[in-house]
Amino acid sequence: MAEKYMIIDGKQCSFTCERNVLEVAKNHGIEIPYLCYCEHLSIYKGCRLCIVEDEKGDLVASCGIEPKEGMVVHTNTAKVRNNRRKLLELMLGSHNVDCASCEKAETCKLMEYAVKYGATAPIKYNAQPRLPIDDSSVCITRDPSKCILCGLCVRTCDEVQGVKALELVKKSSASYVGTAEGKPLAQTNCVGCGQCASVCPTGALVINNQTKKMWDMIDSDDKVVVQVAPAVRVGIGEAFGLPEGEPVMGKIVTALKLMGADVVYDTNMSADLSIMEESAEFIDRLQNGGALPLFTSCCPGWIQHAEHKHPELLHNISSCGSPMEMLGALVRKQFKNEHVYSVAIMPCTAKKFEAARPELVKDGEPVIDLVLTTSELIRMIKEADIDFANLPDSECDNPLGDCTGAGVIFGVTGGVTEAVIRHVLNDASPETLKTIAECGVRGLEGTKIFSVTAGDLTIRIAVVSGLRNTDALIAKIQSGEIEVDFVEVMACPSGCINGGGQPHADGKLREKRNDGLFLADERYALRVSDDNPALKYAYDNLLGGRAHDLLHVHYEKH
Amino acid sequence: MNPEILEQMREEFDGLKTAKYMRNIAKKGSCGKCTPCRESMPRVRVLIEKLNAGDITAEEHAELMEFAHLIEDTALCFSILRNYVKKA
Repeated sequence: MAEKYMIIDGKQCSFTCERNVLEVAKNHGIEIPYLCYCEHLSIYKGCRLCIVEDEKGDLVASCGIEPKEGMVVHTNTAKVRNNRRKLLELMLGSHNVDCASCEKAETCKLMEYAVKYGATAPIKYNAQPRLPIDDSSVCITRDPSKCILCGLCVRTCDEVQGVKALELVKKSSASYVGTAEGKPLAQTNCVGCGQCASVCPTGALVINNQTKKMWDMIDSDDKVVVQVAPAVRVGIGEAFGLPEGEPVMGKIVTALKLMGADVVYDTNMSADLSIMEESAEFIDRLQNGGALPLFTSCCPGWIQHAEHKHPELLHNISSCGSPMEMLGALVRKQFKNEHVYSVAIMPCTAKKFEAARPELVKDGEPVIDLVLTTSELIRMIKEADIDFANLPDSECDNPLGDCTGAGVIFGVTGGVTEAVIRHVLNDASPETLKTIAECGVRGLEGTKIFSVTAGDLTIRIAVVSGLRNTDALIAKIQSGEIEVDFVEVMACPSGCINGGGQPHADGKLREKRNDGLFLADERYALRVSDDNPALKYAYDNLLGGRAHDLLHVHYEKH
Repeated sequence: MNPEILEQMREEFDGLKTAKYMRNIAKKGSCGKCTPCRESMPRVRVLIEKLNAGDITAEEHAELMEFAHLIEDTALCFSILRNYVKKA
């Protein structure tokens, strides 16, 4: 594409096909503030913070103007500064400035800008009655008193997820963000994916922080057994100054042990287990006329979405529990003679809901006692004053600590499917792994449709992430427009690397986390699930022939 | 309030290109979408009423003018209006 130039703050800035002047500025290291803009969502132009001054001396929202050859704008004139400051002071005036005890204190954009742009005199003239906190959901908490009406949550839940659990209620100066039909969040079609909390610039939507529970468990006399999901290891380092997307599982294990965890496992191991179980289930359905296409079951956001919107597909969903569930079941058997706390560190807010499901009670005990997200683990590491960046690596505990590259890639969209394909072809040679990598399964696009041939078996596959994409795919399958045998669904766009429990990631950061996960994959000696020695241990010593009871769950039509 | 000064205050506000729109928004309520108007309109409404009633101090008038300029300069609808005028 031909390169063009515009002038920002007297500096020549090249652009090609950027969506707006805000993006052009960003690409040239000029940080224009914004609260209501997101590269993945429709443009709103509501917060007015991204205003720049044009050649006529007028202010215009830089998120809403396309760059043009020869366009001249200024981001820091007196007019921009004074108006920007007043806008921030108005926002602060309507805001619950409870900052010291706010979940979002470290990452609140409103606070960051208030400090940066000198908004020191809040203008308190729009005193609306304070709307109550909604903590009905076990995954996320809503506090409307901290809402700045940017609408990012509403647009995410609509445009990306198609769930529409959140609504912008227009009432002039008393406008607010509410829920569908005004119900508590847990009673709407909310699936707990946490994408709203991820994109929220303030503390209006936050992950339900349960770190105190983990400290209580650690302080108790009972053992704390922790599993860590694949995507966590590429989402945590940046909070401690490490390169974005770099896999740091070794440091996570050390940190957990320093914090007081007794045993640390990697959910990677049970990802391998789920490949064995789910592939067997899939082949069985192919050969014996079972429900096809088979839909994956590891994503709790997808499961809830299916229960709300596609209950007729529940019998198509694999009966396998998620890797988190499977490892939890193994932990209960591994430590069957003592009471232990079974904790999971996940990139996912919906896993908090999954852990509390009745289907995850096995032999009278929930297999997971507590789910903490990556963001909460970051909190605990900081609270314990651990110098994460300089920690040495530690290995996971045995006998369930063995992992493969096939398991670690579960954290990205297409990863589960690629692991299945590696198993079906059962060939870890570099040539075959390369062929698999290039078959269409990789990439962060929302929908990928392709086929894989193994001997005389051709499997037609769809990989989808984001629930609006999922609904569109399901419509095509149900109308007969597309025929597939296997469907991988992740509720969060790009998969778990961009889960609601991870620090927020824009497109570039998602790519880095994706790359980091495949780097971790390449570093493993074992690349195919079948080769994981811990599987034999699990089947022979822990499952006692009850794999179907312990590793499978049945989601009933409500 | 000195009637001459009051008259000057009224002229200063109503002399704005956007005064008529602002009076309308103050009466009917804003759309609620953008920050400057949504957050300042309750106060602007009070100040306009004071201006109409002739019961307004110099500080309050200055405050009204400041809000009026903020809305005129940064509100979404006025920005759109300006762009359409430019294009025409």
